[in-house]
Amino acid sequence: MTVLSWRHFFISIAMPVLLILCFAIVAHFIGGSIERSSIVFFISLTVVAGIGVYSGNSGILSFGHLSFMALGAYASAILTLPVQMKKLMLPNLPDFLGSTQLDFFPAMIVSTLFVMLVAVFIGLLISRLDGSAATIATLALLVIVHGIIIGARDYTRGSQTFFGVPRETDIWIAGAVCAFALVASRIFRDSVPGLKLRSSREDAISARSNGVGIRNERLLAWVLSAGLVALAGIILGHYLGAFSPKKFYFVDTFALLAMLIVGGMSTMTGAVVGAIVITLVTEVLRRLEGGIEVFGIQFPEVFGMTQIGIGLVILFVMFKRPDGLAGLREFDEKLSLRFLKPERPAKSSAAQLPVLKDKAALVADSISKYFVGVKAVDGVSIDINPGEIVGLIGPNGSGKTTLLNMLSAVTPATSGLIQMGSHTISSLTSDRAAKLGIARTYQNIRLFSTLSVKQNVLVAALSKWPRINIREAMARSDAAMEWMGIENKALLVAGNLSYGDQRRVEIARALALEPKYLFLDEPAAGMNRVETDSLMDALNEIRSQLNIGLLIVDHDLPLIMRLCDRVVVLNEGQCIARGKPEAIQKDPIVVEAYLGRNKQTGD
Amino acid sequence: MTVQFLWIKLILLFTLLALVPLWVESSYIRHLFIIAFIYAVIASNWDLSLGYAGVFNFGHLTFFGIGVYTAAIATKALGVSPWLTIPLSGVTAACAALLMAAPVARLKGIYVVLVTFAVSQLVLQLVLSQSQITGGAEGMVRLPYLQIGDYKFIRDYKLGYYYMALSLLMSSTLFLVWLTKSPFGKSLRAVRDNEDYAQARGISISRQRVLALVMSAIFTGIIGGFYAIYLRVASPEVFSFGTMSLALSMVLIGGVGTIWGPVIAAIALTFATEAMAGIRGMEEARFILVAIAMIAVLRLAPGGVAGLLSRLVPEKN
Amino acid sequence: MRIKTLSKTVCMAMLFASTSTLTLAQSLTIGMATAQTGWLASYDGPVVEGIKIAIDEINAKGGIGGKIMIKTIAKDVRSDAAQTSIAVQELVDDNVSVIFLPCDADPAFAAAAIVDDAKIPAFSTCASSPTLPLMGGDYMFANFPGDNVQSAVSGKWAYDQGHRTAYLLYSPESQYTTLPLYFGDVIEQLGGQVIGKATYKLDQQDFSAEVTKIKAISPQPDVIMTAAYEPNFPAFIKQLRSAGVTSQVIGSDGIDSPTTFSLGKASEGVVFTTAGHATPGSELEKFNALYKAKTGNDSDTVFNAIGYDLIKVIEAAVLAANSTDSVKLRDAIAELENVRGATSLITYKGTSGMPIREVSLVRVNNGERELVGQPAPDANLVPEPRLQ
Repeated sequence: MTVLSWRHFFISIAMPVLLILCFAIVAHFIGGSIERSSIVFFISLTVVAGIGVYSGNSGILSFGHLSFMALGAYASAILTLPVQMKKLMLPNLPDFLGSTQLDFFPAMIVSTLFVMLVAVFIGLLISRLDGSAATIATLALLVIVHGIIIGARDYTRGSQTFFGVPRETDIWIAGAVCAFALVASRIFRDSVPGLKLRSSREDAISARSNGVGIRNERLLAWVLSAGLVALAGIILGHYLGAFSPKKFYFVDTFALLAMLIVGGMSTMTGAVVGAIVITLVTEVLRRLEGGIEVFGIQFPEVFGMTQIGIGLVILFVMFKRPDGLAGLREFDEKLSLRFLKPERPAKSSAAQLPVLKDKAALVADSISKYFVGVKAVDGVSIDINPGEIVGLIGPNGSGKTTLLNMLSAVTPATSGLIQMGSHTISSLTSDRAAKLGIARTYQNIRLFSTLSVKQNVLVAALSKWPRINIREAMARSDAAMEWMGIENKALLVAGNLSYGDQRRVEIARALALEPKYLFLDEPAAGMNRVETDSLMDALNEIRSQLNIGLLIVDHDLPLIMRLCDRVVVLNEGQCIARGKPEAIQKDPIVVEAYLGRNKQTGD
Repeated sequence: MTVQFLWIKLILLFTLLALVPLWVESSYIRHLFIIAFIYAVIASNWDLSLGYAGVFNFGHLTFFGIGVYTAAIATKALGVSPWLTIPLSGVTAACAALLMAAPVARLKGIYVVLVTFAVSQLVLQLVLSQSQITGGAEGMVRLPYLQIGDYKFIRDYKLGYYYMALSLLMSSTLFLVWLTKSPFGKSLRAVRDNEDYAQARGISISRQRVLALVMSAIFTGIIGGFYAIYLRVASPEVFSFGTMSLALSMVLIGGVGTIWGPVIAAIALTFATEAMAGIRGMEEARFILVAIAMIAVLRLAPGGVAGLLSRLVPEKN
Repeated sequence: MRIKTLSKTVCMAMLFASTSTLTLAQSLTIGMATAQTGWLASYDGPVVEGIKIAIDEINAKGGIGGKIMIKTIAKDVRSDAAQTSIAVQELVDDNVSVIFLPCDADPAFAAAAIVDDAKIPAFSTCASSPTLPLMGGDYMFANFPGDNVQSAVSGKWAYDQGHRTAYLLYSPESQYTTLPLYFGDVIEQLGGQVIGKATYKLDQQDFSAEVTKIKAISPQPDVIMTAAYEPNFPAFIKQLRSAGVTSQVIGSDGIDSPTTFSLGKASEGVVFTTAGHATPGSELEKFNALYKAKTGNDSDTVFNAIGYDLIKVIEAAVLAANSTDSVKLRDAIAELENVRGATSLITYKGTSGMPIREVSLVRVNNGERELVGQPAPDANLVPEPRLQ
């Protein structure tokens, strides 16, 4: 189910569950206001973990999740309210609601499912939006749901207090739900969709070109997180016994987001840390608000001290540790380097990188790309066959990268056709192209920098999931890492590696896609002679042993001339020459193009 | 968009608005226009930091609120003339923007959202807690009104206030247009669109962001001061999320990164929401509709109304 | 020897027992979860003043019945419903015998489940929504004439004055501000007509839209009824009169405050229902004198006396139950009849927790209070309580 080993998985889940259990037992033993605060703490932690499932993994901050909390609370309250009460309080309820009364647990399940269904609809609308647009949309969602709750007076009593809700929540229920949320969030994070979503958070463009569609992963995370948050809302409603729409609006959003951010958005550990810190700060400040004497110093009464304190904590954390107090790794991941040794695959492991048998060529017929007022690529035709290396050169700004982007479906062509066997690449998105066997690397190395090397490569290997299972994908990524000689760095964080190693990871990742074609955009940039030579050897092996077709864009002319079977030259968007390397080197048109463009910069 | 085209649009708009009092004598409708102008200033200035500079400033309404309370406190507690407090409000708002500079300059993307959000909460809490000065949750009432000599601005169905608000809107818009067309404005767009490129050209990203923020605060604060004097009331409602979401929707629906888009949207939405308020059952629903419109714009027409209109008139570059 | 020790022991035991029962019965702790800040403070504040005066008066005589001193624990609910729940929960932890809740149904409802679970009788200081004690459980009580009763009184008066058409200005955001809907029921039952309704929001400052609507009605309504209070009412009445609307405006107890009498021409002639009026020789007159003596100021709102009355009710219950046990107190309260308060005789017996009290009609005349009447409400006219 997840990409972790069983031992790792068990520890990551057992610890929080045990912690919660102990906490609940102690709190129950103490009783009174401590027990009550603990119930509220568990509920808050559930919400934070729930929001984290979406925001942490997708990188999209959501302001709107409390609307799911509200929907859950109101749905469950309406379902469990005694029929007599309903007649007095909500006389205009439709019959099917007004005359039914469910028990707590059935109501909890029905309400959670209801909210998840609503989340599907909303998610379908929102999942195509990126970054800040999505965040603003979630803000609008909060306003909308808040407005609907207030407007639907017959169901919710509008802005007035909804009271009489059966107070079923005790510390065991709150603790159980909280533990469930933590486990669920952890499982999701390390599940296949979770890993893919995280890769899209790191770099959406390269995630797509490694087979991640992003939209489905976002939708899944959205619906799951909505369910968890709804669950929290349900047990909150049944704890308070009375609530109003104010409880699920901006002030509470702010406090819960504070927990999420302070602890660290992307991990379950962060959710726990953040919840603990903010709860402590709140509890302490609340007691100080009325003015208190500590060691003879009289603290004056400051109304709203709690909000101010939380605001200051956020500011402080944002400055010192923008990724949150817990950082980007789960507690078990920080331990794993020490306690869980990386499994070394045997050299003779069964999974090797497959040799390509497909003979279909990749053919681009007179493709062009127009931006506003600029023809970046103008009517270029190019083809690549399996097992050959084609070089693509030209002065800066000649359209090489744009051409590459079109061939890998990262940018759609304005006109022209790109075919690979029976597939028309030019009408696909880059993730579909990746799944069909087109892999690429980027000029600026687009790795998933906070993920480990192994995870980077695994994302690509999982592009064929669920047609292959996780074990197969893992074997494939091990083979790819071995191929590029980085298997001993598997558990290191990709962003911390040297430039040369990062390049290798990127190529290994591309190989894990089982590509038919591999495009490399300036793979030798920034490398010295030694590194460049070893890169050449690696690329040669890929071509000869795996029969993959390669297209290389580079400025290192000696590299191109030694490595490539054929060379295509671009200038100002058009193909000005093509042929064998020796011929190209001597071609006067090519020489002219390079000399003539010396004074211009920019692509 | 070409500069001349923009000027034509603006001259047309403002001439029309200046003539409105000839046809409209109702105090109520003029009041709506005044409120619309106020929102227009807020929204178009927010477009400067959000749309042009790409700073996710969720604390823009704080500048407005600070302007409101500056005017309120200055006139009531310090006895300053209302005429002076209006520009003074711009100064205090700009100072607040400077204070926000540190986090805004260095953090990226969503962190700026959170920090500016946190700051706005902080200011709200300060206002609520220092109730001796600010009136706390109840706010401050009976602020002095504008008058020149014997002429009280509220006379003639608020004629004076109407033209005052309109001239403030005009000044603000002129200021914004001048700013965005200047080299400074161009560098802002460079920073927004391609940070790496801008840095390579030697532009200090953090300095540009801070400047954009401060510029966006000036007229927002000024119009806040005017708002307080006009309504003669200052209340913490100005920091509420209802106000913020409405203003945000004007920026988005109008068209992020244009200046006139939010102005038009502000006027249109003010009247639309007010008209909807009259329909039974729509008192809450109208804000829902605005929020839905916001999502629709994000999905279907990210350039907002301004973007849609621009496409109707093809321009040569 | 043994008998001596035995009798000594028995004597000691009896001494201990008697002293301990004495210590147990020595004080009654009241938990006050009221608004010291925020908008409700302008109602809870005056009520709490009256409460303090009553408590001081009783404690000066040695306590209730000369032996049970009254103690209080106060917590600020900041005019917030959620904060009220928290404050009440803390008071329950402090083992109080009676709880006072803020002057509004909404925060009181929020605390209803808690006081019910804890079996501690709770009074809202001055909320007047009849649904509060009806739906708030057996332990929830009110301390003011109900909205429906007030409407019956003002509605009958309006009809008797010859008014036949009414316009209602109400807000669905709280129970109390929907009072005009009861008024509408009463007018229609009597044969009059509600010719229009408008809603407003509690934070609304600008009533030009509503005023424009009213002005546009032809002919103008005889009566405009609203339960709006500060700051909505002053803003509304000023804008209404500036627009030239001259209809009779009827309000309710929410405007029983000095502000209403300082609005000059705007509030002239406004009639509202309230809990009492200090006619010569009345208990209320005596209370006002007591208030002046204690604070040096005139009592300018009936809510001071309401607070005083609340303690008188508690006193009567403690005496009737001869105990400070909260369950026994609750039962005693529910049986109280004709307790003499400053504003009126107070009866809880036979009700669901909404006391039977007098209603006074007061007019603003030249900035002064003028008694219009203290008619007994006609039971047939009082609308059924409903959550609206």
